[in-house]
Amino acid sequence: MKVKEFDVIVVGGGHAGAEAVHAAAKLGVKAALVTMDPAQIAQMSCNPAIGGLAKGQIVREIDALGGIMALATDQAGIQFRMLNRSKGPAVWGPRAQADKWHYQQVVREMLQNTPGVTIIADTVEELLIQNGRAAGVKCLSGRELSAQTVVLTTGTFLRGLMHLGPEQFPGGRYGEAAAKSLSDSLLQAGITLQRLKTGTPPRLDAASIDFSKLQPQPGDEQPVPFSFMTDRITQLQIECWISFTNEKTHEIIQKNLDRAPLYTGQIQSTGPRYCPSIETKIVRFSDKNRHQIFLEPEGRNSKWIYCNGIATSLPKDVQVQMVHSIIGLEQAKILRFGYAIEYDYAPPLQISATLEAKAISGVFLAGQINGTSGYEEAAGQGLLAGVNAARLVKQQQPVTLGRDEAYIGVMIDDLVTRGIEEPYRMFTSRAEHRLLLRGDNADERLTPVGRDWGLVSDERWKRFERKQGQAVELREYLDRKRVDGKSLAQLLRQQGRDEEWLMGEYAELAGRDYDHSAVQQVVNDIRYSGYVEKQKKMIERFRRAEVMKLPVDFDYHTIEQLRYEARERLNEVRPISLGQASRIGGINPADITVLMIHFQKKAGRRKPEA
Amino acid sequence: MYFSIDDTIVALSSAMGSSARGIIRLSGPGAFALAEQVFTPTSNQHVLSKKTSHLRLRGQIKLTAQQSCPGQLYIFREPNSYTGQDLAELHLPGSPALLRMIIEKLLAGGARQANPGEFTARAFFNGRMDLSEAEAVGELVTARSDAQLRGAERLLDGALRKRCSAITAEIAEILALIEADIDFSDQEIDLVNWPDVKKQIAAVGDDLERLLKNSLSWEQLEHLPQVVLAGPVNAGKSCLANALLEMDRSIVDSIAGTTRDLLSGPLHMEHGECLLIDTAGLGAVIDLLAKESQELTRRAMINCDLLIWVIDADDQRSAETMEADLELLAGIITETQRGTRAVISRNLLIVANKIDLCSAAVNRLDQIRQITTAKGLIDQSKVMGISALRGDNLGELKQAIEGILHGAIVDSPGEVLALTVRQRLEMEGAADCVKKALELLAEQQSVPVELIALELRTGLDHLGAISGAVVTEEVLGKIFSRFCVGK
Repeated sequence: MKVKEFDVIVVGGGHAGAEAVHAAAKLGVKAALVTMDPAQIAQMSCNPAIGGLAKGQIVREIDALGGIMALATDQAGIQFRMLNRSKGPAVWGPRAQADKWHYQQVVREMLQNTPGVTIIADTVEELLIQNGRAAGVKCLSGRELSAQTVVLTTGTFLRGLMHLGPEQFPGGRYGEAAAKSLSDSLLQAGITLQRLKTGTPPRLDAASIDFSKLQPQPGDEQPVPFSFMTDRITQLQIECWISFTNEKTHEIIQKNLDRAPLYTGQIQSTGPRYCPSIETKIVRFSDKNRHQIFLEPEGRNSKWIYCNGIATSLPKDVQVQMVHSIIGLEQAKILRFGYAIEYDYAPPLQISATLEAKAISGVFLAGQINGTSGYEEAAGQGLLAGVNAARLVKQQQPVTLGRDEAYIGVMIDDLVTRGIEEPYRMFTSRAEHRLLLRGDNADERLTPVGRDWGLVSDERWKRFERKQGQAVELREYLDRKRVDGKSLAQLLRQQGRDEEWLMGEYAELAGRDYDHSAVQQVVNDIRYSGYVEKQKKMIERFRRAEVMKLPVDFDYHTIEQLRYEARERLNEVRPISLGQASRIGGINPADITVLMIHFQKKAGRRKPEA
Repeated sequence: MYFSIDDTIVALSSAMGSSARGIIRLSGPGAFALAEQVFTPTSNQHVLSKKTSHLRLRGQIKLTAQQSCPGQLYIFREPNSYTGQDLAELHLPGSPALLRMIIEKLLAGGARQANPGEFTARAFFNGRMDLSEAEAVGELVTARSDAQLRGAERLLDGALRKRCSAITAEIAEILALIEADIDFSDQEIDLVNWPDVKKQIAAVGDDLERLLKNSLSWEQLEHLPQVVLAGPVNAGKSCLANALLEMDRSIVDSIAGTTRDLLSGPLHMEHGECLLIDTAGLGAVIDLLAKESQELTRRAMINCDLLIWVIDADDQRSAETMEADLELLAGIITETQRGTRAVISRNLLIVANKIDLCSAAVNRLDQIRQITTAKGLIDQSKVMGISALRGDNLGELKQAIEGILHGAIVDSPGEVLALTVRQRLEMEGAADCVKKALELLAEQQSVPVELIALELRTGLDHLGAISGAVVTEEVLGKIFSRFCVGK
């Protein structure tokens, strides 16, 4: 039974799904978002915060490309902080607490107001395939939705299994059903699935917490917005609170380890090392006598408090004892217990850097199904998957982001080149060009790219051009204006000088009313000059390798001159460019030369494109 | 990894070590300009600008402002060269010191050290080979670099790798601390103790400096007393060299005549160092290349401070073949020069290798000693039986070498490493990064952590070229094992 004809069907309404359907529709194709419950779109399943170190840069990148996450955060944020402000601007990380319900509402409205987006409430049970290509999906209700492309953003829903002490119950999120049949359909389609684990802490009732015993953590006095489109954050900010576990807490956990699913063998799959449960922290770091806890309000006027730092799957009675042992939480009422969840993911060597599945043309994967964790990581992939699905429909070449262009590029390259062993999270240390991939210049790096893809609105583009115009003008001024024989740019390079110093010393500049973001970009470029030039040169040297494309459907066993191990690795990863091939573990320079020779020969030995 | 084919690359195209003639090759758009920096033609200053496709020039190779030596410059203009690009060859005396000095000048001038097979690869990309040849190129590149890889792996087993790995691990530890400070600053982890980090970085810097100071470059090796291993083809010279040097410099193979060029390495003895030179085996000449390398062997035999003549004492070989092996030596001594005979015999050891394959080694040695005496070569005490494979009598051989060379050996403070140009460049690069990191740490107001991390990471990349790359995952792993991160 055919109900409707779409170009792109996005399965799942989380942060990846929202960006995917938005991006696809923006490119002018008919896009449907199929979600079990439209009320749950853009749900913050874990902590009620967006951004942070490295993640904040990703949010800026999504914004620069024309995505929605930053705009929604600026509207729904209730506390804004710039992390790492005492360090260099390359590693600043904007972070915001959000009112999770408000956030959902903003995103839902954005999607509803995007022409070309259709939201469908149903559960996808089956991926429809014709002649090895995506053909649509079949839903629990029995209806079939036909489409040329399908974007899978299934989060933790694929055969989701929750653990709360000895209790186990299927589900994708607390109180929500799991996707049971879709996994089988994917397996049948030739996609390999494995299991990962993640966890979440208990939520407490604000009215039962003694805040007078806790240390408050306020937001920044001058909150910095996420989006390049937002002039300033005007809403009132709320406080978060800090407490600590103590020896009594640890004793309670120690005593009950024999009932912890992580230690009884009930949970077998791998969880993230950077986000361990409280029981793991206590076992692995037994010498630490306390662990920090952030109490984060889940909304502006909400009684729900998120207990960041004590993710757990211990039984309910242990969770109660544990929480009550903590200062300020002696009387705390648990509104929802912490739990662990295991779910299916598709090991990401099965997708290429365009996020398309190698096994089935027209099927794109984004978010936790690729083994990542985090809203921002998911959203970044969702955006690219939506763009590439739409481009496939429009018969345009797929696009990718490079490691030298964006954190999103670093992430996807890591996923599709190295695979994962635990849920993948972004860190600034993963980006070798960290000084270039800054939050302040995300628009300079990516807005022209987003414009080229068709995601960037005229309004955004105009704003960008104005900012860049100001940046050029300011840079010229700083290079030209001399004080004591030195240019202002040179003076700026001295330790401890920043835009505040500049604006304070040179009143004529303050009078020009430049955008803060333009000033910041120029000042940071100057601050890192030398390093930036060096990195750019290095990137230039390697760009040729990125430009030289390799066919993804090629059998490397046919190149006899390649070492056997190299053939195996290349067949497994199927890199899309020579550059990606060079980053695969176990591939050496000679293998690369052999590849260059082979594919040059096939290409009629034209000189490689510069 | 390299990908570009439009920069200028340089490489020594004759073998490293002492050889009669050294050839330095340059290919790329800057080849002629670079060659001109080190070469002054005798006849016409501007001859390089003339549009001839091939040219040979005589002239002077500039060493320092005052010094120069005679040499030749061959130029092959694009597209009529091996690589299809502008190609220059500098021919000069084969002194390693000289060659290294010139290569360093060219690198400083902007050339890049070529990777294995890169000249051949360029030849292909520029259409200088037809399709059938191209198939072979792939194999050639693989084979060559495999051999190089094998060589590298063996080298890695040696002292250099150990030292580099230790330094790499230290830097990675420090980097993990700093990266944790950057990526997990929102969490309650122990703050970085900068004075401690400063001490650690300084210690790493000292380690690198010491390593560089204690290592010899190839030109310095030239000043060590030279011990030459020579003998008939397939007597096990390379195997012996490897056993003595405790690392596999040359590729040991049971196919006769594996060692085509001179390979050498510093031999560490109780009281100092000498340079052990492995040579191509002598015997029936099969091809032109073999003839050339045998010529090199003969020259090395005459110029050395100690000649070790290695023969195969395997039971399966007859007394006649033994005699022929020793006659070969006697013949060379007689033929080379009447005057040098005395020199050679004073500093000559005869080593009967493979005594592990003799059922009665004592008898076999007696037999060899008799032949030696009969030919008037040397007295019997200088004939030794060893097994390079099993390690029999190697200690005694080392003592004998030291005994003969005593007085001539160069005193050294500890273990000495020999570095190739590339290894030295990488190590100097790493040392430079560590120095810069220290300078950044000295900045007063706030520590630019992200820049220090960049320097350390770049340093790791340099060392990675010697002892294997450190990937981000390893640094993250160190963080996770050390800090309780995560909310």
